[in-house]
Amino acid sequence: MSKNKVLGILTVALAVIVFIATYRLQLSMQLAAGDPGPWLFPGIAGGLLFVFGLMVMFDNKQKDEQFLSGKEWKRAILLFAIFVGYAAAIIVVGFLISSIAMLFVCCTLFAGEKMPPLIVRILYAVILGSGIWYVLGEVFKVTLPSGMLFG
Amino acid sequence: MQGFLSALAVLFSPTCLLYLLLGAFAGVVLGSIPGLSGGTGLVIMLPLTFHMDANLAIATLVGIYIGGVSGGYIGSILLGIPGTTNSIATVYDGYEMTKKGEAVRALSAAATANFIGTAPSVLIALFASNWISSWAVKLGPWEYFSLMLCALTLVITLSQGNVAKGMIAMGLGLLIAAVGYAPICGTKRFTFGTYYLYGGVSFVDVMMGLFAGTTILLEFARNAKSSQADIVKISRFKLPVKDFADNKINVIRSWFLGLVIGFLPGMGGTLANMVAYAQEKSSSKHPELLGTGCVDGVIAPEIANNASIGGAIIPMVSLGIPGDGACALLMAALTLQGVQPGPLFSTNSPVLFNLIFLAAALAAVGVFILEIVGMPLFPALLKIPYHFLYPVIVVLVFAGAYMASNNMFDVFMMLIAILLGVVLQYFKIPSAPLILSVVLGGNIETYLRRGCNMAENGWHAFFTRPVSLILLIVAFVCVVVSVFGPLFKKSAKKA
Repeated sequence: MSKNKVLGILTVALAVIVFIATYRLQLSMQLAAGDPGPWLFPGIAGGLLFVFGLMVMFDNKQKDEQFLSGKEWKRAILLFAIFVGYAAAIIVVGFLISSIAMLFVCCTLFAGEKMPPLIVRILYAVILGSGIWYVLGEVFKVTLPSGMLFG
Repeated sequence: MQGFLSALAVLFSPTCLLYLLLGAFAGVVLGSIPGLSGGTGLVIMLPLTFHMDANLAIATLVGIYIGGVSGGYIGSILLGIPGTTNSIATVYDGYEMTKKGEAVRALSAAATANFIGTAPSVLIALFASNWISSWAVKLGPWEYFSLMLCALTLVITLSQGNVAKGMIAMGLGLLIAAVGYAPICGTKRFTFGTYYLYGGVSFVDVMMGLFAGTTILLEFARNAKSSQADIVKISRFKLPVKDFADNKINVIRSWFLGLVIGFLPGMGGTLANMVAYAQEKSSSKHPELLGTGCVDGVIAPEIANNASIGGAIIPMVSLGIPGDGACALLMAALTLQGVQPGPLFSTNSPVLFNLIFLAAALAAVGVFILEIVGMPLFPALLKIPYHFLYPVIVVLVFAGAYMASNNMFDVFMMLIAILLGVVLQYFKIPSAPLILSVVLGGNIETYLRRGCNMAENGWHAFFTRPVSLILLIVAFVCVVVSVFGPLFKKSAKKA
């Protein structure tokens, strides 16, 4: 199945969901005369998705090109999983510790063949992680998460 | 005249100059770092200004404001990650120029565009603010809706090559903008029962995810960064005389667009840079080059987003209505000092009134000099090993998403936006129409429904009010020209 067909099916399916959700919207107050209501713009969005999703579904002109190879998909999924892990770690252990860990992990991952020595990566993570935490928390007075374990 | 001269005397005092230039420097640095912005600097400085002299406070804040708007292009051009929402469109061509080894040319063009955008717009705002404001109070939601509809038609231009996918992007953008409380009636839409979504999806999360997160993810996946440092040439600022001479009409048009859009409350540089870019793409003799590393695509958004500064200041000082978020903070600073912006501002506080504009113009000069002097340093950023630079950017992007509303929900929304960015790129759906629709979607619905509610003849008012009708006709003509123009050109070439 071509990419355009997949896109078309997904878009039309999303449009149907939007139409159903819009139909089920319940007003919290009476509308003034002439007010099109909260249904108009989601309806327009759904309509655009439906009509142009159908058009794309039947568009066979564009040839599919490879987006990412198998190996590249694995790298992308790995990094996204690390992003999610970082977000979860911020909630559990707070911004400072999770950022130090994140800097170390990302530095290791991004280095590839140019891997710096372990001590350099540890120092980099600790100094920069602490520096960012200090500048944001103490200089800019941003309230950063301290984590469930330390909160 | 007395107020003007007194403001000049205050501005050129050594202390005031120092505060202004330090503020401008801080603004450029904050604006260039993805995850932070000039707004962050304003928020930090605001409580400190309570204890400062009013003139020094305003000079500092204006310096941060100008620097923040200007500095966003640095990340856009060098990293493909906009430092602020004002420089989103600069990514499309600026980053491509960096990939081709033309980083300094792009940076020089953007720095010059910043100056050309800011200085004349604030000076015109100074002398014309009262006249413009007296005309502007006659506009209502009907005119604002029609103007925004004109801007929305540019989606078609941004989708050239595949209008259907551009329209899908627009549908997705309007859907994202519809999340949260509906305007006027307060109906909850697509909130999935979570109060975190009652206020809608933060645009910062969308921008961080679509640009920063997706760019970093895909460049890591493709291992695309390792060879880029080799093609970066570090050199000094070069005045882009030829580039600007070739773009005279682009410069003038983008400047006017920025000034007008900056005037619309709640819009500002974010919309100005997108609209100017789309308009340049629509009007260009070689539209196929835009998006591939064409300097025209850097000049247009950077002039517009800086010209919007003058437009944004006008309603703030003359009507007491902030043109954008930064102006809202400037207004708060004035209020802290016991000054009330509005129709009587120029009469009651003539020195402060003139100081705002003069400080903005001088800050533009200071930022320009700073960017010229610092030009060799910016591309040097790319010489920092990828495995040292990008992890820091990742942490700052997460921090920036968190700081949008100080809760982790926004970080997870950013992660969803990263997935959306990957999906858009996989299916080759352009992101520019989506961004434009998200920016416009909330306000355009508000003005439409408010216009229907306020007029006795309901939606007919959009067609009976002259200015609104003219703008609707312009929007219709834009759609027709955008859709049928390329077809007409093709058949003319065949003939």
